[in-house]
Amino acid sequence: MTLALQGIRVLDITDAVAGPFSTMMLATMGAEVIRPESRRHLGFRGNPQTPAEGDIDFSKVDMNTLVSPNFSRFNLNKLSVALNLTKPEGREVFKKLVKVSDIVIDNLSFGIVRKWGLDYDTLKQIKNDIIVVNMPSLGEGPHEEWTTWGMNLLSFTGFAYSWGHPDTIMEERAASHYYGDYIAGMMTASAVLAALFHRARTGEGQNVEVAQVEATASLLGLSYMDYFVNNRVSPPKGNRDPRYAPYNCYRCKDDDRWCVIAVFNEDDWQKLRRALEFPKWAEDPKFQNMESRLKNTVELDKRIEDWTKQHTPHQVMKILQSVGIAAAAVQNGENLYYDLQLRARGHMVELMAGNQGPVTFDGPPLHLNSGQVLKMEPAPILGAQDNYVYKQLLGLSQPEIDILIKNKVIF
Amino acid sequence: MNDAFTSALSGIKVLDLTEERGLYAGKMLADLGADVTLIEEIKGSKARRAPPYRNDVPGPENSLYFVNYNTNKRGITLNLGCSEGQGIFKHLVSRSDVVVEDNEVGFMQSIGLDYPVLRSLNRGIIMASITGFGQTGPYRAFKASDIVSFAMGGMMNISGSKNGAPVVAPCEQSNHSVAIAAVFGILTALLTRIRTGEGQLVDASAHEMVATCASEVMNYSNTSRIGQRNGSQFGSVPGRIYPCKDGHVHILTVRPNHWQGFREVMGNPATLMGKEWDSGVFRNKNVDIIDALVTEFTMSRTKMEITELCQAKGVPCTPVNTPAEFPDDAHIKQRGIFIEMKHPGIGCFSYLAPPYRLSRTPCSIRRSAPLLGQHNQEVYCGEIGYKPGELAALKDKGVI
Repeated sequence: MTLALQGIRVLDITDAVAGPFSTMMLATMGAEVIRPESRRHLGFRGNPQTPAEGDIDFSKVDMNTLVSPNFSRFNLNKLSVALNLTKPEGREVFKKLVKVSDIVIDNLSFGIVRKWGLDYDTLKQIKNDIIVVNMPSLGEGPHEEWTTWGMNLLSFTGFAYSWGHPDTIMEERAASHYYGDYIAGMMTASAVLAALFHRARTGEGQNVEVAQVEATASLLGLSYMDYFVNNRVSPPKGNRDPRYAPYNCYRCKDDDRWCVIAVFNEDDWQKLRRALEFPKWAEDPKFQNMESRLKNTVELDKRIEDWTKQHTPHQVMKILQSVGIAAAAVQNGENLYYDLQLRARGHMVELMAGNQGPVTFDGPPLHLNSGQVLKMEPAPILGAQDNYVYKQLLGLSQPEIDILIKNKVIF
Repeated sequence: MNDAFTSALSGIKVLDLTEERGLYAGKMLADLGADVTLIEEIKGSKARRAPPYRNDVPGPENSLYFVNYNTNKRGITLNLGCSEGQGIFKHLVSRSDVVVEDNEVGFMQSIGLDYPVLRSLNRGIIMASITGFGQTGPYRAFKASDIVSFAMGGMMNISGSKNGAPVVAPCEQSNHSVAIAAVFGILTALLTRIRTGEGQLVDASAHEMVATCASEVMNYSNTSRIGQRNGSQFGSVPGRIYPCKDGHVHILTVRPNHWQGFREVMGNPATLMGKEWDSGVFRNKNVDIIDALVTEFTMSRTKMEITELCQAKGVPCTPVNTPAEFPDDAHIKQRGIFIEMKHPGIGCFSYLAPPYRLSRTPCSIRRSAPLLGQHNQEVYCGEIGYKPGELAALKDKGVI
């Protein structure tokens, strides 16, 4: 089977989450993604699981095999070449690689690619149809030099403001994960494919920029529109929907276990009553239709929760989905790991992660009939493909390679 | 020389059957230059009945939700429940490149318009099915709305404050994110088709996309630990939203240089100078001591002052904005990401431009969201050749 992006070579100088996730998506469709990396700056490769959980003593770590789980997660199916881009000779080698590549993608700090002469204007002189992709945090402008992580941008765009219950204080709103990074990564991967499509039809390369702040903001288009049209900023709305009741997250049996139930119409409501074995309270006129239920959500939710608290989250899901109601367990990490559906769909990928042994990762969140990589490869150790890149792609001789090693260009 | 290809997806014809979960997919393709036609049932898309509305007055041309997700698309009405409507749809498929749909699994088959049928009409057709749980697997028939996918995918359990209930994200993120994933699949299929001439089915599942974003599978697999809610806190302390003189700031100290920089910004308080404070693990055990000092520092300064001080030392810190403050930020204004739009029902308003900047084939907003049936004449008469009389007859029969 020919892979969708077979023959497309990507030079990946991204780190952290958004960048590596975008190139990993390209790799899952068959692109050859090469990561020029250097011991000089290990970035996420050297990160422990979560930074708070342990401080790595690098003097005790074998750098040659260092592949942190977080690095593994975003660099499956890629190749690694040791190349120190902080050295001018390193950049010259890089430019030779550009000649035999299709895409260059970076998310380095603002200004670095230009300083290093790896910007689109320079690289297109080397290869006319190159596609150069930049993933800055904020892009050119007054805050161009700001260092941000994805969580900062959730706050900066107004996303964090809107993510909570109506009474959640600002400090406690849910801006604690990489969600914006995944979105920026997926959007960038799509923009790259659009540029490839254009190149396939016209032979033209181009410069693609997806600023992470703008990708994150695109998630919140509706809130900005509500502000511009209705001149208001709605407080966070939590789990309720103003159109439907019951529609909420409910406590289940055992500590910190939850489920969600969404009733969209009278048919759903009758099914729910039946599933709950026709409780007396549900006959009360104040619950007789959507309008009255919406007026009495507090009491309604309490009644529903009296029932859900007697069940596990998956029991609630099973009972209600069996009669066709949208209900689900609020799955935690353990539930996800053992999730039947994800397993049955082939979503899970078990691979070796450095010397951590086998680790299970999320595979791509979409499936094609053909052209997609079916067997993922683990993330490479640093410089794993040096021979392939230096000898096969660039045709360097061993003495030339030895000099590059000696000068810490291959490092 | 390439005037025909001023947009990346110029000339690509997309039929968009989505009503909710997949709406953003068609919009993203349209922003990249595809000709996207939204096909609505006669009484109008469900999205026209979704809030918020202009001035809170419901009405088919008043839904901001509809306008937000359908700007740049054309719109026609078509009754897919009758055989004549299905016949017209098949004709449209025979001259299109992509079909996007977000119906429950099995629905397209029940009306005789599933992928094998469409493929028999046009072997190059690419069909993207965007659903809650995907086309296969034991949960495929489960009912899934945005909150269900957010819960099942594991994002919800790690969103919210430590002692509160899990909370879903604003603006239907499970829908939004899976639509973006589907576009990635559609574009991959378009590229493949250049070589093979064959289309294919793209199967995108919100459950999987949310699970991917939650990162919990790898976490559990690797550490056997279950992720917990912890408000806005990420990584080492301090690493969350803090109050300040005029609002809030979001400060992170993930890396050692972040911590050292931030300590300097605070004026190197004597309490925090011991080497043990360089350890994130140690800091996380002494949250109260750090929080007291951080808050004392932040409360006497504005969000912009704190941000500038932190950024000068390489500490990731930004102001916390509301959706009203963000468009007003100097950087955002200069980037020009909000553009003026005009819609017959909504009037003039500022609208968020697409985030993909392609130098040679820039995205463009070419039209506002379609009014109900706005392009019926253009498509049915202008493009597939019905006479005005025939169109009227189809209308009388409830087909269009």
